[in-house]
Order: sequence, then structure tokens, then C-alpha cells
Amino acid sequence: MSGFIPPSELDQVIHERVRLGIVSALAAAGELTFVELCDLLKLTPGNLSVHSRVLEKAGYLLIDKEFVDRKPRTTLKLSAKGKEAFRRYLERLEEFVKGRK
Amino acid sequence: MPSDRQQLEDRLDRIKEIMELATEYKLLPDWAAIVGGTMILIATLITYRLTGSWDVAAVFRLGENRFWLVAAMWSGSVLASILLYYVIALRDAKKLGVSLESRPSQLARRSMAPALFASAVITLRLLLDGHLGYLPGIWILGYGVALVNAGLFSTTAPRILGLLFMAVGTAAIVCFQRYDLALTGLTFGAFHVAFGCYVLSKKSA
Repeated sequence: MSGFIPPSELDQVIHERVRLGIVSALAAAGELTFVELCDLLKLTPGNLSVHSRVLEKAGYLLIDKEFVDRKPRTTLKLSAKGKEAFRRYLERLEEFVKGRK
Repeated sequence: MPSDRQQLEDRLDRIKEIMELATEYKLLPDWAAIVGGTMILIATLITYRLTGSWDVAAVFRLGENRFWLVAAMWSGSVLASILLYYVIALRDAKKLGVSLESRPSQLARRSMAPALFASAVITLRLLLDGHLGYLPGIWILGYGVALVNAGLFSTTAPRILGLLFMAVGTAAIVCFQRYDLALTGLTFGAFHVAFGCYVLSKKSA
């Protein structure tokens, strides 16, 4: 197929379906709490935790843990590297879908 | 098993869908719902004090001055709530750098319109026929249907709120007509306050 980009050429950290959801949501909302992300993406805390750790390890995610009214609150947002990686991922994906590559 | 091309197109659709949903999520009303609901609760209590009844029909038995006072209070509360919702939503959208005219926002608003239009037409007929006792139930039910429809383009919370309105609206029409003022306060007042608190708690959790 002409113009085909094998998925291996795409950033595999972001390409995974759940992580793509996390990155897309954070790109749109700026930052979200752990509970909000679970609710929005219909994920279990364990599932979100596993995938957010992969993104954090890649340097794409900033995880901030703090106490508000004596309750722990975890806030997630994309790092500059994560924003850039998502921008590049989107460019590559659009190139493929539009068949320009 | 989808082909690679299908899989990539699916990814692009998912990105668009989630980005729109995340924007909507951040714009769910919190303080607007709490303040708006509180105004409705206050209007309900003042109306009860003036009429001594939980039946909305009692309002129409008040003297002309008091009737118009109650009508102005309810109209003012509803208009102020809608205005407040837009002011806060605009402020939040500006803060997030997004538009209120996103596709899910437009779809949500459009999907609410038919149910609200139907409620308005039924209201007109009931007013002409003098069957005023059904009005609160019709609006509670109609607003519930509108919320359930709008919730199809948002998260589950507005849909659940809509279902609660529909249940109470049905009860108000079928068996609790004499308590429709209380049910109006419960739904448009207390339910909105509870919803606003829920959204706030999610944001700060």
C-alpha cells in the first residue's frame, strides 16, 4: 500500500490505546487529577497507574502528588517532552491517514 | 482483526473523541450548579412561606401582587442561573484555551432542544386549559429527558442526573401532584447543588 507507515515508526509509548487516551485527554485539558482521568477514560485505578508509570518513565508525564485537606491528590500533566512527542505522533498519524507520506 | 490502516484511523478518531470529551469534562458546571440550585431552593422556601402549601397550584390562588412577586422571583432565579452558567463556562473555557462551540458542546445543546421545546408546547396547552398542576412535573420530566440526551455527548454524570429528574418528574405527574413545589425544589434545587458538589469533589479528588 503506497504511503503506508508501519506502526513501528510511530511512537510506541503513545500509540498504545490506553496511553493514547491519557495523552490526548491531558493535551486537551492541560491537567487532570487521577480520579478525573479514571472517570473520563473509564479505567480502573490499577490500569491507569500502570500506563501512567510507562509515560512517566518515558519522560512524557509529570505526576504531582500533594495533600489537600489532609487527603492525597494526584495531578497529571504532560511534560514539554510529552507535548512534543504527542505533536510529532499526531503529525505522523495524519500524514498516513491523509496518504501524503 | 483490523488492518493496520484501520487501526491508525481508529487511533486518530479516538484522539479527537477523547480530546473533545476532556474539554467537555473540564467544563461541567460546579459552582454554577451549586449557586443556581441554591437560588432555586431559596425560591422554593419563599414560595412555600407565601402560600403555605407544597402545591404549585396554590401560587395561582395568591393575590395579584404576590403572584407576580413569585413569578418574578422564579423567572429571575432561572435567568440568573443560566447567565451564571454561561459566565463561569466562558471563564473556564478561556482558562483552558478552548471554545464553547466545540462539537460535543453544540451536540449537547442541540440534543436538549427537542425535549425543552416539547415541554414548552405542553406548557402552553396546559396554561390555555387551566391544568396548572401538571406544569412542574412536565418541566422536571422534560429537563430530565434533555439532560439524558445531552449526556450522550458527555460523561455519565449528566445522564444519571437526567434519569433522576425523569424519575421524580414522572412521580410528580402521576402521583405527587400536591407536592410539586417540593419536588421542584428537590430536583432543580437540591439535585443541582448535589451535582455541583460532585463535580467539585471530582476536580479536587
